[in-house]
Amino acid sequence: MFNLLRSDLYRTVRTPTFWVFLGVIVAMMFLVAGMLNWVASPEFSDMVNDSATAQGQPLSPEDQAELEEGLDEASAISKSLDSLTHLWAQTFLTGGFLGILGSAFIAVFLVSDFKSGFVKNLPMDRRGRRTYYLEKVAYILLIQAIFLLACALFNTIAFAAFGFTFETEEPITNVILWLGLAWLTQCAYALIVACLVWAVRSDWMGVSAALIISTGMLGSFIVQLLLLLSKGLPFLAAIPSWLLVSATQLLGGGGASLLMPDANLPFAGMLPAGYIALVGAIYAGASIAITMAVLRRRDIQ
Amino acid sequence: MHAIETRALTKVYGHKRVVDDLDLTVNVGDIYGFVGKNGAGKSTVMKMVDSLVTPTSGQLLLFGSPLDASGGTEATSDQNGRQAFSGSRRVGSLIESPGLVPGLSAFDNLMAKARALGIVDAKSRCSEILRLVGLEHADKKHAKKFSQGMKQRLGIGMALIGSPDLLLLDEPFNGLDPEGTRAMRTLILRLNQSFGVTVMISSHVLDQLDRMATRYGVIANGRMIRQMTAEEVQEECRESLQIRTSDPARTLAQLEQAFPRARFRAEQDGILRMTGADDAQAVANALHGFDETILEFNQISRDKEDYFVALMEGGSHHVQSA
Repeated sequence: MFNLLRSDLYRTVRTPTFWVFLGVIVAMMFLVAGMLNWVASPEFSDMVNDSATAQGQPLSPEDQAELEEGLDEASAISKSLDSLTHLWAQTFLTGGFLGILGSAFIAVFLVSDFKSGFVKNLPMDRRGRRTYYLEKVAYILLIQAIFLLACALFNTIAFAAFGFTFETEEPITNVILWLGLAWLTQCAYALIVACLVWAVRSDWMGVSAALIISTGMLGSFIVQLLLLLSKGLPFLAAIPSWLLVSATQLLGGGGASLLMPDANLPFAGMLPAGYIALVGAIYAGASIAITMAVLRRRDIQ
Repeated sequence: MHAIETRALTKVYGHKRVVDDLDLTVNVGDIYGFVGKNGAGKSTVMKMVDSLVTPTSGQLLLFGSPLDASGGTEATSDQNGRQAFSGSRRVGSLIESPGLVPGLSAFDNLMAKARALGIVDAKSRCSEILRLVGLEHADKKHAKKFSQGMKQRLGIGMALIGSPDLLLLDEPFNGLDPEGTRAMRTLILRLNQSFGVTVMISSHVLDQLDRMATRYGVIANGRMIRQMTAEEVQEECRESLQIRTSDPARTLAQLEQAFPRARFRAEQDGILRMTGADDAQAVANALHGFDETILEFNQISRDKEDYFVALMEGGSHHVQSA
């Protein structure tokens, strides 16, 4: 399995796709930081000010001073962010950016084995297949970690470069906890997409699945549907809390909220961290089980 | 020990029996020519041997180790009790397409496979393989920019990098120019004769097979029609007499007595094929003396291509009527 992983990593760094994805991460993090920096800038304040006065009645000197004071205050606040993990969550997690990147890359990489026929070069007896699919699971986990850490690193650098500060200094344990749970949920999404890819062996379907599933789009739709149907079938209302999208949304509050009891969780007294770990593990485990029990046995044409 | 042995090997897709009760043997050291029409089941058989496709039923043994129903090989032990590698690890293959990663160079494609197999000193092995297949000057070129012939060569290289004992080649001459074809044939012969690699080749290019194969297997509609040695093919394509009488069995007995050195084979429709008779006139005279009604008497020599085509088509009819 280690040999296969070495081979996959060799292929990964030798083809441009991986570096393009990393480039997109770097560019996006700096773009977001740049945009927020501009929103917090005096130029943006002046633009808003000019727009306000152009549309309405001319302001009195007192009203003008009040408006300017308000804009200055807003500018100062917007350069001060809640916490590091809260920033990460809002920038690249809850919106689905990391999800789609991580899952789309996996979809393209896994399909390429079958599309190019490279998989026919590998030992595909019973032991070989077991090794192949287990290695791919390990590869998925590794790639999700790389992309997550890249997002976190370049996000932090970009916002620091533009002079943003944080109101709350987070303990390192909160940061590690948040990263670990974010990694678990993203791995779960990527493993679900991997299952679909291995089932259909189509790159466009894999990327589409990454877009719909890993961004939480499908999950959100299912939640709305279940809530609607629960009016007639009340037991359906319990299901949304067990969907991966619900667990991922809980990460949106940052590391501090993970250890604060939440009465909305399925089990009384359960901490959000435990709940997210449980849901993530269920989906990841189910995907791996389906892969090893069913998908591994498919013929390779 | 055979390199490959199948017993009643069957593969069914839906309602279609793509491979039907196939018995096949490839001896260690053979260059086995696997001949059949398009869609006869050759590629499917090779994929089953390579564990890419799981048989529906039947047995398949590689170097004496059976593949189980899930397509896996049983681990075996050598005389020192060390676990031998599974049969499929001693197999290199080029089946249907070369299996190249388009975005990687020739060298990187080989390196990717070398690393996957855990080959020690992978770089020098890859360089050696590139020289062997004549691509040492194109090592940095991306595979997607290769011609079909170059892809075939690199595909062979991919098959060879693990130093296999068994090589499965499905239409290896596709896309090769005459020089490339000759180089490919020379390489296969060298691997077989110098390194003892057993080779199973499916090809429509019978002329090339004729120059290499030591044994043949003819498949039609998923069934094995005949297996024979190259010498037997040679013998059957020699000049022969085609005889048909009103009582084939009696005629056969009388001819065997009259011409003890000749060889006879009973074919369909009561035809007797006689080879090794020096004088056709003598045979004709003997037949007249047997007081049999002679329905057909022809002296023919057979082109190998015609021979195989007749086998394939005769086999098809036989299978369809059976």
